[in-house]
Amino acid sequence: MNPEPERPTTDSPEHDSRRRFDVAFVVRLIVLAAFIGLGTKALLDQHLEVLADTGPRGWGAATTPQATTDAYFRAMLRDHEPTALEELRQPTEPLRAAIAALPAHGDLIFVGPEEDSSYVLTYLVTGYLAWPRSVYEAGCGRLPGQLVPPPSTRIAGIIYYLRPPPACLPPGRRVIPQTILVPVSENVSWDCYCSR
Amino acid sequence: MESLLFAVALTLMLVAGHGVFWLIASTQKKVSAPEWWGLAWLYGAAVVALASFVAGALVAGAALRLTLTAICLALGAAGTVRWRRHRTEIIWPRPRGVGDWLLVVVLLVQAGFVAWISLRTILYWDALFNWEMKARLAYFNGGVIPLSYLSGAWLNIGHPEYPLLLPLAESWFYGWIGAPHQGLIKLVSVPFYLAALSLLASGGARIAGRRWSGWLPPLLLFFVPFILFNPGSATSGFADFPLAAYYLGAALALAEYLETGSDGARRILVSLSAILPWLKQEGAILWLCLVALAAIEALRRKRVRDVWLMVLPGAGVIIGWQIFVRIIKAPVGQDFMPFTPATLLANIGRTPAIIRELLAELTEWRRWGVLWPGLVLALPLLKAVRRRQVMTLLLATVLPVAAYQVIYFFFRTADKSVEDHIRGSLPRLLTHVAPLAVLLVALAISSPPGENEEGQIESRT
Repeated sequence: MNPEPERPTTDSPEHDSRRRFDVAFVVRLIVLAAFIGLGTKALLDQHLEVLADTGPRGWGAATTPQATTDAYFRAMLRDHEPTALEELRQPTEPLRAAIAALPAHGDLIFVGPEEDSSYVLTYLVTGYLAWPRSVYEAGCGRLPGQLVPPPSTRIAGIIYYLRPPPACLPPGRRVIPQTILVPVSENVSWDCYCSR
Repeated sequence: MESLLFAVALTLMLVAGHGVFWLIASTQKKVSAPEWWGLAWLYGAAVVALASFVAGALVAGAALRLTLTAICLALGAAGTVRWRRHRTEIIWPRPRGVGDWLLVVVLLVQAGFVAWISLRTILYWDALFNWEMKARLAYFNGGVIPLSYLSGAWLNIGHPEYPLLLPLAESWFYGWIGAPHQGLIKLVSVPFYLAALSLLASGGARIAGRRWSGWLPPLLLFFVPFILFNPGSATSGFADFPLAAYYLGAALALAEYLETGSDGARRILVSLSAILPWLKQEGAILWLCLVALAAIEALRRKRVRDVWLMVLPGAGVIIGWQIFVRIIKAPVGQDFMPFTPATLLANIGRTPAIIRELLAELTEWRRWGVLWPGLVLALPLLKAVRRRQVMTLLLATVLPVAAYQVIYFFFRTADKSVEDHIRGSLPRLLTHVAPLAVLLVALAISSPPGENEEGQIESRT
């Protein structure tokens, strides 16, 4: 008959080892549970329903060629003309097409209120769509360091964002809500683009 | 049709990367299949972008695409021949039992979710203007980024001085699709995420010396919210997560090289770390950290030649790009003051703010879950895993974070406070080392208690 194995006493090295084993196991379990638990909670708190919503009210982007710029314009419309959201699901294309239809070899001037939170993004997206034309950001004297066009620049059009064009210029065409494009030919003096 | 052409472009990139991988790593006796796939994508994207940059100086349009296609196929063929000649064994991950299969299913669901998120969310601001816009301009210019943009003659937006791996890789897809496509291009993020998963799986299994330890690191990566959402995440279209994937691959190669002196690991380390500065400016800092860690060991072993072999490719990329930027007179950002001791001393008063913001970010559970506190808790548990490799990975995690904090002393705070700047950039920067931190936490969790380091090393050799 085999003798019964000796049980470790509370102060034996084997007992110490088992205690270390247990503590390490518990710590591992806690770290794993916290990692997955808190991670899941934080993921659920990310407002996925808004981030991935490609509808007029959401911040998501569909799998279309201009998905992101459409989402940026939709955000602008939500702030300034929410009624247009339903009718204009892809606002990028009308603006891109209008700029492309201008006479070749002419740059653009972008005029808008710098204090508006959507101003910078709309200017950048307009510049992005206008390649190879340059888009000069005209704050009309309120902010320093902007890209005011040199006098010799050939200008093909002026974009008025969130404000109407001045009376000295032709009325232009509303290409998307809150955005008016005024084509400028060599016969039209555009120096007055900043006047109210 | 667009999706099909996207798949063709992706496949050609993988073929090129597969070729480069075997040309570099064929001296290995065994290679795990996930490592092969992961590195094939990373090498593929880098090679197509580099070839596009070089060949773009000579040809454009269809001729450029044809040239790049020929390069991809030639590299793929050369790599396959090399692989066959060396008869390197490929270790396939074979799930055994219900538990393994369950983990595989969970991993697939996670990867599918990341792909879905990539498709449904926007390209964030920097992703559009710093990276995708250059791909778009290149597409309109026959696959070559116009010099008029790079020199700042057009709109000075999107940092023309930034390196071009990501834009030129994206432009390759546009060339095949036949038009810029903000929707489909978001899918380019997914292979980088999958590459990181593959490297985490192969690295975890190799370092722990245990098959199932390979499953946990990729599974845990999913539970770091910042990796999935927000600007700088794997789905955002930023260059930060791709940079993290390259850095993960290079750090794993470094850990293996320092322990085994393997020539294959050294080659992977040198090549991947040289790609880092070609992807993003912070890549130069990451490269420096890796080279410093590798050089210390190489000098200890009195292998001076190895130090030069490690330094030269990365230094060549950094210096070459800086020369190019200066030749074309690209407008260089004015974000930093001169990197001199005088600047550091003048801004030493920023220390409390830098430390405070770092601690606040590391404990921001909504972005990181318990990753960073978990890493601290994991440290004592990591004693049971290969100490040498774990120490290397730990240093590779901590060193860049420390270096980034030092950079904040030199930041020019013209229009916002240093705190605001740190809050805006630190989460992105932590992304670069987050996969490594996930790997360390997973290794700590999955290593069985009581197993000592000697036992581990014996089981490997």
